Amino acid sequence: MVELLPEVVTILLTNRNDLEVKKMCISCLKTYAEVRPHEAAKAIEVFESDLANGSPYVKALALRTISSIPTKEYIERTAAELPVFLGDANPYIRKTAALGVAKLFEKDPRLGQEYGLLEKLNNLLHDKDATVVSSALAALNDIIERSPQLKLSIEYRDAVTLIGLLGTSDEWGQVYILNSLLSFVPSQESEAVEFIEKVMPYLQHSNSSVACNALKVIVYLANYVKHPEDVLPVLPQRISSALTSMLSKSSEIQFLILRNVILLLLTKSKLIQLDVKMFFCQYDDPIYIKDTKLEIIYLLAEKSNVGIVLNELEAYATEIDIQMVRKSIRAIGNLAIKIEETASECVKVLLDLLENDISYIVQETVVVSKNILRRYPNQFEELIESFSKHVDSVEEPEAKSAMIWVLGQRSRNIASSTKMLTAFSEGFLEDPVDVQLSLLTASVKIYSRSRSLDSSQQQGAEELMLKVLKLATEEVNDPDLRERAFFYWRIVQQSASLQEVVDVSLPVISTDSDKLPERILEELELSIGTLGSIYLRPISHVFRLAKPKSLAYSPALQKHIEGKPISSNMERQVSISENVRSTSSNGQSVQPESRPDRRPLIDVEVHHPHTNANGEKLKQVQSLEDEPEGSNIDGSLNAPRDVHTRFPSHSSQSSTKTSSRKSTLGRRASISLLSRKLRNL
Amino acid sequence: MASSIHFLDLKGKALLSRDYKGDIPNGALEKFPVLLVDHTNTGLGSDETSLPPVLYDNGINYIYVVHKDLYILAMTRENTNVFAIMIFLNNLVKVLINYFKSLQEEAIRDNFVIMYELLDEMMDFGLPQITDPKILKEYITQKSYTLEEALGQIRASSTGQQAAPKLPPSTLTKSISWRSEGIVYKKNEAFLDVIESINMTINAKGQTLSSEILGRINVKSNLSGMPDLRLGLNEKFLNSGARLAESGAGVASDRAVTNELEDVKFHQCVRLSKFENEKIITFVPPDGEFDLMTYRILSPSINQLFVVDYKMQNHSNTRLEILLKVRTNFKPKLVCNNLEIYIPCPDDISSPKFGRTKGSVKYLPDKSCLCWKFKSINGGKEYSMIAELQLPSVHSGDEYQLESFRKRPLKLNFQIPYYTTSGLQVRYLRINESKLNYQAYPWVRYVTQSGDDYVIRVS
Repeated sequence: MVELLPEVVTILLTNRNDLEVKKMCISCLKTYAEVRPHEAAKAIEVFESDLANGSPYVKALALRTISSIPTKEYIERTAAELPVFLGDANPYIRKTAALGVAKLFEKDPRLGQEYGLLEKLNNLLHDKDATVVSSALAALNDIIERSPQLKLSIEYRDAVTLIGLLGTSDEWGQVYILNSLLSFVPSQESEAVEFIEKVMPYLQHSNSSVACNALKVIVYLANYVKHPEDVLPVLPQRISSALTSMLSKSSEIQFLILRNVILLLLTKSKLIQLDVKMFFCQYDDPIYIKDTKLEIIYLLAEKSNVGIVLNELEAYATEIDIQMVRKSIRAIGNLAIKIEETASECVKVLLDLLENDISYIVQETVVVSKNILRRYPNQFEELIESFSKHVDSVEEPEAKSAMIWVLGQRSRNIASSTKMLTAFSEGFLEDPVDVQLSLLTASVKIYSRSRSLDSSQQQGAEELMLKVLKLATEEVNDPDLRERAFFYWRIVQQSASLQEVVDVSLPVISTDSDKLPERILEELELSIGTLGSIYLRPISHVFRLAKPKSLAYSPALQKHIEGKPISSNMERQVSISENVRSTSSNGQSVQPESRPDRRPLIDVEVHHPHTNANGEKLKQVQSLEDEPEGSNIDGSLNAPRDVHTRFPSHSSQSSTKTSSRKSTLGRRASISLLSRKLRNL
Repeated sequence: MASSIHFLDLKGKALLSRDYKGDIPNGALEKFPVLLVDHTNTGLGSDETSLPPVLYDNGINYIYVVHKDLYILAMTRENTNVFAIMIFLNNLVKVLINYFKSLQEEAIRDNFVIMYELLDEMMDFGLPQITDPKILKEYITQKSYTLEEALGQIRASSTGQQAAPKLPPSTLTKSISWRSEGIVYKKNEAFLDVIESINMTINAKGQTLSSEILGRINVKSNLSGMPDLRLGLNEKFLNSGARLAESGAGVASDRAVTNELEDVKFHQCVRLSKFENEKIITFVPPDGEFDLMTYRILSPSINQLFVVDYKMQNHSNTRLEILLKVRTNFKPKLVCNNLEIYIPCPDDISSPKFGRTKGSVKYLPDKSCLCWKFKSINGGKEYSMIAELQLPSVHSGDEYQLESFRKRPLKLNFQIPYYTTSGLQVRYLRINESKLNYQAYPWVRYVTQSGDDYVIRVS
């Protein structure tokens, strides 16, 4: 196909007035221009003449074309043409040009800077046409995501203007505008409340994307209100009803919503009141929906509704689909651990399920029961009794390990535990390592206890242990297992402290450990409706190049999420910000004068981390470089950010993480103070 | 946003692609079918429909929808607004159906040119632009080849008017983007359809587990000029929402209140702030048919419209007897049309025999169920049906497996005209066109029907 490019260019040059032919040629050109830049460059003349004297539609088409072809000639042409068309009389062309700027910045940001396109794009935010404004916002957002030095910040009155534009723009425009509102940092609680109220109607938009972005804005702003659920009592109800109504859409959309419901339950559970019945699975839901609903049911379960929840979970546990059965049994088990009061009811359900004697139900029940028995050390003898009936049907490795652990741990309550473990040891060499390890530990544990028992039992336990130790040290190749066996062997020989080592009281387990850390939740919360909210994993793990996001500091910022060790952090924030204020007051007082009288509607902050910003940009930009301490803060801020992107999942990084957090907080505090000062002036 | 959009056939072979950003490596698309297979094999589900619509592999995010024999796939590397992409894909499907009548592999093969043109207009640099088929049709006017034409039934395609002006439609950038100027009708009429779909889950004991009303008001507007419409709904309906909101405020912690959620969603033409402040619905309608508003009422207080009594007897694994009674639980003067009750039965049965007091019963082997059908049925009546099913003499599973069909619920489909469960009534529809000042006629119709999930569990 590439071979045909010259022909296509010829057609393009000779058929200038046939729009349909032109569009086809453009498609071809866009695809192959990169392979044959010289051939492609010949066609540029057509677009030049179109830009000069075509109808608005043709102009826009030409503009769109030259801005999307990634060869040098076209890029340069685009950069030269864009400044003119950003000020065109026709809004459709202005809009196309705005997106053209984003395309240019993706390919060659330096060229864009040279032509001052960022400032021109910034000016488009004053445009009276809502579509143009929203396109400019979308373009800015794209540029900013790409470059670490840029940051969008929106002042109070600009935010008001933007919200006003919401009413007149189309649905996609509303998406971009709402998204940009996250760059507004309310300095007072009242501002946040005011905006929440203004955005609330958009929860009712029939385009779920608009509704979800409205939700994101509201959740974000709620961080700046002390008790949002008390200040705006309708809010939880409105959010919940918006969420539930989106559940009646296609299953793909449902899935996205459900994932976001999980996120909200983890971070802002006070802002939603959901009835657990809403999330009961329908028979013909796809598996991925059922799966997610199950998670939500588990999260919503509490003392008051545990009855219906357990009934429902029990129903799922006898379904046809095996995956679903396993997951619901697991949920029952986790429920028992999560809420102590429900444990006995959960165990009752599990016992009923064991009665069915269906292999996969037994396997799964054994696995979850192990956790329950560990969580409640001296209870639920009935589970153990029922277990002993099913010893033979336990087949899967995980279930086997669990069963062996229970036999070893509760050997005092199981008369024939030694015998059963001996039976398990028959297949020792064929078992996977996990099972071997548990059997090893269990046999040593039993031996350590057997000294207080009668001689026949003592003998049985000793025989078992010797057999397992012998097998593990002589016949097995796995180094972990062998080393552990040797380790036990030596302790047994020392003999004195055996019981203290292998049979101690275990730390209590809880379900809290699967919770995500607060900082990651905060970032996820700012990513409601994006891919990150679907994966529910730390954003930097999935998107290595994504900019880290966190709540910007303002006096109104509330961290009322329970369990967050914020008090010390807060103090630190305050002290840093005061520090900055006192030391930097001199530097700041100069700034307002150097700014033009009419500030741009929305500031794009340009931070140059190490070099000084050039004077021209400082005029328009809130830059911290003027402050005496600015460069210092900057240096420490930027280094750890790099670490973040490069080694996203490394654990040894925790120390740098905290230090980066502190300095980021300090930096952010100073920004907000600065802007507040400016407004006061 | 989206870096590229692709259309693939069911085997994952690319039919058509449009790359908007060029940041997706070449091999990524070939990886997609592999991902689908991998996910299927890892036991997440047994069939392809059970895969989640968002997949991740090696830095690339795959977001897709399935439509007939096509995968429509968007790829991106960034943490973008996945809702926007998903809705865009859904809208894309709608637009293409609008152009080609039915969207499938063949339609795409026949319409490469127009597909590319549409993709260019609907998305720029991965950002969704215009997704309203009515506006697109104003200036993307190439002839599309619908399947019927290919089959030789040539008729003038509605999209076939060639001589359209090559100007960007003014609708693209003005504040009312959903309606173009200069629409003229000889007879000015507006048709309102109030359609309520009911979803209910009833357990084997006859208790309602969950119930909801999904309502929508569909408007078909055949109006000239730029009419401004004002819709009046009965106070009771509107107030129930407000009252709920207030009571929710008083006792926010009381979960019982949330049982009756009410939520209203409007088409983009409705002035949301006006509704928020004054509870008045005003709008300039798009031309033709659209959903003006959708609402949802979640309420345990909806009466069960049908009371069903189910009994099953297993005669020593050779013969099953299913006895079903149904009572219509609404006013006698109302009539329910096309009631269908789907009764699950084992996969492999022979010589089914039926007895019933009304309607007709059929065995549907492909769905493994019986279907009891009524053309129309009045309120307050009771009918019964008995089915005798012979089981195969040799069967592999035990009793548990045999009766696993009872895990599947009964499913009901029905329609009740002239009736709204929620009590919604249209009081008036005022049509005001300041320039043309014509007489316009509003029409209203109500219907209550079953939603996707009107099910009764039997075990």
